[in-house]
Amino acid sequence: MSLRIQAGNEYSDEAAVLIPNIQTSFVNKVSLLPVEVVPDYNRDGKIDDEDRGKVTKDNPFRWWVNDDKDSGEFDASGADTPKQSFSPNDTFFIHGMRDLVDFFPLYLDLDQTLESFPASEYRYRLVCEDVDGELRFTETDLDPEEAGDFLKKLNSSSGGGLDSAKALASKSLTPAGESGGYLTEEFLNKIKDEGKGVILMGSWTTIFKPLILRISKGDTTVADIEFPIKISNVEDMYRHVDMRTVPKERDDSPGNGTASSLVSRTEASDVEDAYPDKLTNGKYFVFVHGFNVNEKKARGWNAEIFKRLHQMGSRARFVGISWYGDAGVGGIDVSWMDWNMNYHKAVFNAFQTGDKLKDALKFTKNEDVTIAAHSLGNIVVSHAVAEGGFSPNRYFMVNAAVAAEAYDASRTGAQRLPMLEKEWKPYLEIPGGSLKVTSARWYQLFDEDDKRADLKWVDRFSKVLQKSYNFYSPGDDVVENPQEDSFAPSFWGIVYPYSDLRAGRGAWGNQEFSKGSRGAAASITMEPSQAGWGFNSKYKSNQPPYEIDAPDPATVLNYNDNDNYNYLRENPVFRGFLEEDLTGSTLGSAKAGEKLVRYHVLAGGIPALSFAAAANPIGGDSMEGRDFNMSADFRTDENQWPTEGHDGKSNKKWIHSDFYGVALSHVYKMYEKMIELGTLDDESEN
Amino acid sequence: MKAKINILIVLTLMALLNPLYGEKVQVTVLDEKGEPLKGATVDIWHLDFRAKNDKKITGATDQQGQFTGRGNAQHSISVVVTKNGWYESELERLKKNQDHDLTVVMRIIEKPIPLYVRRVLLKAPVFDKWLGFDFELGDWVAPQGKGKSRDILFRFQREFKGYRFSEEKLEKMKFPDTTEEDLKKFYGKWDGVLQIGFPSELAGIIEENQGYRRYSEMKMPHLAPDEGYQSEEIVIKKKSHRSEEESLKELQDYAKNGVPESKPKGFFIRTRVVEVNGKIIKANYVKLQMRDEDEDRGEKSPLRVGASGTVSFTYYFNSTANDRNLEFNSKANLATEQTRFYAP
Repeated sequence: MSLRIQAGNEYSDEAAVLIPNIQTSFVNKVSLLPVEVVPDYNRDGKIDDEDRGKVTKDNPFRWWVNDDKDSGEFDASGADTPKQSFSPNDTFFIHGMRDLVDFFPLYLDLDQTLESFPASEYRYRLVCEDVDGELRFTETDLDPEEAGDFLKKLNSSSGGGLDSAKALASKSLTPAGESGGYLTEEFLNKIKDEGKGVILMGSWTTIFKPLILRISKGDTTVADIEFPIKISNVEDMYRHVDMRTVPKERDDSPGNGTASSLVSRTEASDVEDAYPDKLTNGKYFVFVHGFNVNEKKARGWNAEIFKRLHQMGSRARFVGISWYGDAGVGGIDVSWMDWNMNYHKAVFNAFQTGDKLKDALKFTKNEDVTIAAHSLGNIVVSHAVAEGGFSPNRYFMVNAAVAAEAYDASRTGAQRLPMLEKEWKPYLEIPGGSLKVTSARWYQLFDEDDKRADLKWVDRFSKVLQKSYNFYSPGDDVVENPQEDSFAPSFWGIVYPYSDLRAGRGAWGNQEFSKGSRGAAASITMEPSQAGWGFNSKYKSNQPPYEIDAPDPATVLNYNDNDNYNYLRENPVFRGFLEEDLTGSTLGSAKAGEKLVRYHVLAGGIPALSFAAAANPIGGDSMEGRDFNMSADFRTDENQWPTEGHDGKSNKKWIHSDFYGVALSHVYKMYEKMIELGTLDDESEN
Repeated sequence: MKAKINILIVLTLMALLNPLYGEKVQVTVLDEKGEPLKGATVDIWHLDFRAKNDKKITGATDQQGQFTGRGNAQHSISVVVTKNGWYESELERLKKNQDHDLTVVMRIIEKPIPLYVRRVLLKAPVFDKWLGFDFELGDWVAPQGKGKSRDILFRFQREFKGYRFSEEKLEKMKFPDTTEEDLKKFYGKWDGVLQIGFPSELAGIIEENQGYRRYSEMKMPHLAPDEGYQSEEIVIKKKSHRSEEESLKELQDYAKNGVPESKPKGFFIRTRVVEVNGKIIKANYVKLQMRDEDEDRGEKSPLRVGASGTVSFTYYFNSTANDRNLEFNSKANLATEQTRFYAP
């Protein structure tokens, strides 16, 4: 910090305020008084000696512009996209608990100064000479040692007080502009008498001029204490990789994913030195969003996850990935309608994106990499690890919309029954019955050297187990466990309301049961039907109870009769593949070896026979201690869980996107856990 | 025109008559003595695919402890029963398109107390040796840990039976830092045996099934039983991997007979027994109970045994001797290192 002495008409002969390490000269009487504006520099929730003396002119305090549209305690709709416009009214108050993430605490260490310059006689204000700046602050009752309570403590201490998230969530703000915002006498007295002195500060614009704590008497400035500050666009504080144009169409023609409006950047931004790498510890934290997140929302997700990790003390270099997980109806991009519900196309795109992930992240140069993915983003990462040569140090699966059997099929035996579509149950129940008649287990009819043996979800991503931690929630609504006797959804079950398949209760299960669906509607809303739970029309007959007249399983499933195996290989009971060659004896294996064919079949034609990892522990000895029930482990207080965004019977549940949508105050423990597991808060390089 | 009027009439009639259609859900609420509980609030939820369309019917139980509601569920039905001074009960995922006749036995809030409550995963530090575990400290007894009291004894054995995958596939699963130990840990097949023992003949374990109520906020009875504890050694054999034939047979059984209900659902344990002339003068009590998520996944017991040499369970320990009360005050966990929420 630097000291500026103001010489006015009435020159103060009482004292000047000096701070350590600053040289100045002064005439007349001089006193030495310690004074400092101290941030929570290491973001450990405490402002203490470890934070002092870190901010200098060459190393200003860095933060981001509050230019998203936070409100309330819950929002998963896209409010977090940066660079949204604001009106002057927006800057008058904190917009709910979710907005607190955009603020930072500053401790005004004025205890001894106030002895010499009492609040009853002197005015204290915060000034910023950035003429276009919209820097704002509010006084709190936080103790410096518990400065992080504005995020971590839900309710105030007994007796009230502005020392908790709920108390501060709607607080009015004072501008720290050219004329400055005055600190109240009450607040200043609390500094002197109670050891308080923490303000919360945020800005709606970039700020590149210092914050000044100005002490004055009348028109005379006694002292200016500068606090160098740099508030930048949040997206200049981390890296971004746009992978939205990676996926191709099934016929290998260019895909129709549109590029992100935020260009890729794999080095630290040189824009005003927003957050230089020297302030990081050299580790990387990569985040991959989920299904139906368009390019704008992807920017919001990335920004919000970065902010939360940063608030909780991460010093890793954040990397946000954007990928084309919002494929539209019939393959047409309708993101402008916010109606991208082609889930199977998104899965197809996820595989292709996973193929390229290692290459896209090569700038990390084998440094320590932690990667986290939400929902369908876990297909991207799991595939990248299992088959794409990507080798992160650790992998956090968050609400993974991936069948648990893909990770460890030995743990999911009991789950097969509820995942068996109702009309296929007889094939299991009759003597000699087997799952091999299903598309999900068709792969078992082939030897390992036949590529069709790989058309399965079973153990597809087992390699991932060595690196993964599974963050799941039994209350996940979108990926909840289906009940027994589920069946392929009807037209209305798929289409009404339109967001069933992307956000409705049981949506993941619905899309598994809609694979190969006989319903024409499925083809309207997703990829053309193939395999799955549909029946092969060559067996169609009018004999009840089936519409088909399948061969007797006892005959076709004779383990010792290769002819019968051949029959099922070439004449599956389930609906045909779009690629007819897959069932051919000559070309089948080679066709299955074609990546795009394989991905497309898996996405839309091979159902899972287990629940999803999003709502369940993966289980098994190896995952003990690595499966985290977010609902039980990480809620600050389950009795105060927000009702916003948790309609109807979803109240009190940790639902699909809550780790992002619910205010950080309710879920910060999850971020602390991620930071702990990845040691993301290790000391920075400088 | 006439057709349009007819359609309008039909639609109007349907709207008016709708309360008479839909699933009927009758709920009978009882106390633990089996007596009807009047004045309990019953919420019957008819759930939609979108939570904002969920419909709730609320009412109070009558003199017979009954409340009935009717509605149309698109997704499923849930029932929540509350009454001041009683633990909440919740039944979820009841099937739509069918009527339900439910009996809910409520648990009264008597005297919740601080307990030591932990979810632990114990990995065998050594094999073929009896190890003591201290419930209060949540650790193995020395020399394996810092525990002081051998409250329960475990003995692990295991045998490696090869890998789940072929050599070729295993090779592809390796990272640069993957060790042989990692491969065994993640992809090995194990046959494991866990023996459970108790430090004295008067210590022991007893299953709790009848009094276990999954739907209640407090699942187990308030008090550990006075008698009935078995101190004989328990042997649990576990395989980490089954053959395809075994797996298929199990599935076919489930399809035919339904998935069997998990049993036992809970245990009570008596430990730290001090006896004089065969009479117990001092003892401490513990409960172990199943987690909902484990039951949903088909786990069979509150003690989850891993074939490679692990056991995990959630326990509630009362450190006050002779106090059989195991009604936990969720806000007063004496295991202060625990940050997660535990139900009563």
